[in-house]
Amino acid sequence: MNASESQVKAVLSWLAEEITEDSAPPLARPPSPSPAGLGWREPTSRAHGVKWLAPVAAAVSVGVVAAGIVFAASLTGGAHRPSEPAAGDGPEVPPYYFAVSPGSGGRPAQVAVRATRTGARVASVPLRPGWVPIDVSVAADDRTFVVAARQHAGQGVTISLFKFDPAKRRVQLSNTPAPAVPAHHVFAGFALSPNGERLALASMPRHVTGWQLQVFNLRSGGVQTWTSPAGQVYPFSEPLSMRWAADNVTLAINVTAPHPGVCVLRTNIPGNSAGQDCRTVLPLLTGPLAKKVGNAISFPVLTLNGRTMVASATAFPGRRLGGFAQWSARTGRLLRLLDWHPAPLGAGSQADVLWTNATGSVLVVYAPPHHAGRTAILSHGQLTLLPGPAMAIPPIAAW
Amino acid sequence: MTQTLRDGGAEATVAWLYQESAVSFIRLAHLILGNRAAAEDVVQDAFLGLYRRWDLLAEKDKALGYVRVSVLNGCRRAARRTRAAESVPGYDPGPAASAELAALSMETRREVARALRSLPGRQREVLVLTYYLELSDQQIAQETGIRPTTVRSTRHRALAALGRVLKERS
Repeated sequence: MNASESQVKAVLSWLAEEITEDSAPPLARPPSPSPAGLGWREPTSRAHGVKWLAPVAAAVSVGVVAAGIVFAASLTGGAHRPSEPAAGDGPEVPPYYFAVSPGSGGRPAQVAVRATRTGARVASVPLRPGWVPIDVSVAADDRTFVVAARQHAGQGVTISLFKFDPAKRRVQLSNTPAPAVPAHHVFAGFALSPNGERLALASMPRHVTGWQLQVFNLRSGGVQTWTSPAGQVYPFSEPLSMRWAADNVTLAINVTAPHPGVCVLRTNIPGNSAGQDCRTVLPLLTGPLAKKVGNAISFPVLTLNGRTMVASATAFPGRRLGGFAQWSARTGRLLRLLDWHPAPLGAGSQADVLWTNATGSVLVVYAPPHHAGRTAILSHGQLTLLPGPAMAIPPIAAW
Repeated sequence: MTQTLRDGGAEATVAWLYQESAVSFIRLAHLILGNRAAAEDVVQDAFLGLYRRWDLLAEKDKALGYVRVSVLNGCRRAARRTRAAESVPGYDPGPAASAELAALSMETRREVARALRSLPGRQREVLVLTYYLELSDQQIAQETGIRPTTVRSTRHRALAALGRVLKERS
């Protein structure tokens, strides 16, 4: 390349830099009915939006122009607006949920059973006086659930198994013995299997590096333990970091070390090394998630069929695009975007997936785009806000 | 990307492709047209064309190639409709993209930019594809529908014309 060519090349690069990375306008919506919520820009009075109507107006009848105007109005209308208040609890979503309400006015935090449809309290969970609930997990029957609670920070955590009777609107402590986390361990998270018979419990020794995962058979009392590779610390960043698949065997664990991501453990296979037995399927910071979508905001949630994961995420930080997305649990590749559009999602957002059906087509989400602090059902691109009291942040609730 | 294309619906996938690659295409069109708004329009049209033809696209893995051809065609149409602005907008200096660029004064950059704008559309297009996208002559021939030998001769004429313009202005 001679000097002239180098000069041309350099100037072309310089000119191209005028278009900065975050300066592309949103894509205009095509002039045909299409489902909402996937990142298409609504037409505006600027050239892109108007030009769809211009040839129509010039070439065809007033009636068609009117239709075009109606169409344009529909585009700028409430295609993305959720129904409010909730018209119903949506398909497949369990009728009840179990949530920790933050304490207020000097009252301690409480666990309540609430109706998904109305948000109304259906029953209270009887905890021992002075004990503070820190986590909750529920089985697929929408009746059997566990609550982790402790008296003071730094003390051990007790886990209690409850049964909810919707007919009597009562919650009863089960006689089934449940494990506890001793004071020299830090409770990291737990998950009750869909059949309510197995409990996965993660904890970390306070003064020793490493972590352990125990799977308790609540019926037989048996327990299997997996421990982390030597030197691995702080694998879990918060509770609610594990999910079972419907087979009651496959467990997805969100880990932060040594490589942040999701690993899948087959709990029916003998083993005791979490490092060897838990297969990483979705590396968060280095894999396709980071490359194609940006960083996930929430931990991915395994769908009940065990094939996919869903999470809130952002694309291209700075462009304020975000929502929810679905990935393959086997390969980690992105499958589809759910309720994905310009939104003030970003670092620090509490957007989260609280529940998913078997396939990920119906979700219960927290703090969806434009609805901070609200819980909603996301089904086939339609967002339905749910009524109910404010939740703890991050939300501690189980469907 | 390939897997995403295979799995996503038309709207989701095209929106996704746009989010991922629009800036690159706008830059390309901007370099050819010298007009940012026109460049954005061309890229919008290309992606909407992709959306409309999605079901007809036999090899969806090559969607971005389709978009690039659409953008180049759109640039030619736009250039025919309105001659791209002759004047160079007030570019921000921006970070130096290379050692060559660092060595060029701002005035020289603007002179070269103006000279590029003054070239016929086909010549400017070949220069952009050669020196910005760094495509081979064979690839440029495929993208533009001309023979590789014509690509070479067009580039040769473009560089010569550029030299003349710069000499006249100096």
